Amino acid sequence: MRETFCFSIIMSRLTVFLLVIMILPSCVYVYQVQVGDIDDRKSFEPTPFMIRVSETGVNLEEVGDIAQALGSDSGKEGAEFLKMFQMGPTTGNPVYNERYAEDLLLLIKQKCPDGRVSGLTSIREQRKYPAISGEIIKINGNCLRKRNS
Amino acid sequence: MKSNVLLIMAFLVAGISGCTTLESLSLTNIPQERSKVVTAEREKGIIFYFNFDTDYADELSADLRSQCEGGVVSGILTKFENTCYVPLFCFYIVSRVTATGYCNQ
Repeated sequence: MRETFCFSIIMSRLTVFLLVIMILPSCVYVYQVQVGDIDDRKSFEPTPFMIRVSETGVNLEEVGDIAQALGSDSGKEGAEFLKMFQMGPTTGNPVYNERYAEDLLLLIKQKCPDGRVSGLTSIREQRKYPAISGEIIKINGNCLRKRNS
Repeated sequence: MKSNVLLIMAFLVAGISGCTTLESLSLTNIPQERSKVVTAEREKGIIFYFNFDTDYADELSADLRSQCEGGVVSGILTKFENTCYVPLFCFYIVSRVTATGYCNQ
C-alpha cells in the first residue's frame, strides 16, 4: 500500500517535471544559413549589428490534437479542413502575416544609413512551443564606415 | 551466440552510421582572382532535438574575416547540413555549417 502511494507520488512529480521541460524551454530548429561577401579593407571601420524579425506560426495538427484531447472532435475536423488550404513547400509552421520579413531591407538601412554593409549572415530559424512557434529570421552583419585618416 | 553477435553488429552499424540531409545551400558572386581559398566550419551536436540556440552559426563570418585580414572574401558557398545518428530515432544530430570563399587582398 505504502509502496503504491510512493510510486504514484514519484510518477505525478515526474509528469509535472516532464511537462515543465516540454513547455518552458523552446527547441530551436535551423532551416537555412547564408553568409554574404565580407569586406575587411583597412579603409573602412566595421560596426556589428543584428536584426531579428519574427511572426507566430500555428501548427494546426497540434491544435487539432489538443482540441480532440479536450473532447472536441469538431475542433480536430476544423483544423484538418483548414490544413487543406495550406500546401506547397514550407519551412516551419504557417503564419498569418506573410509580409513580416519584407521590412528587413529597411531595417538594415536604418542600422547602416551610410549604405555599405558587409558579412551579412542570415539565419532562418524556428522556436517551437506546443501548438505555436516563433518563425524567426535573424541577420548579423557589419556596417562599414570610412575611416577619417 | 551467433544471433547475439549479429544483433550487436546491427546495433553498432545503426549507431555509428549517420544519414546526412542537405538543408540549404547558397552562393555569392564569384571573383576573377581565385587563388586563395578560405574555409570556416561550425557544428553543434544536438541530443534528441533539444537545441536552445543557433549561436554556432553566428561566428562563421568573423572566422572567414580573420583568415583574410585587410581583404575581401567573395564567392562564398554556404552549406548547411544535418547528420542524424541512430537513424531510426535521430537520437543524436550534428548540425554543421560550412562556408568556403575566395580571399582577395
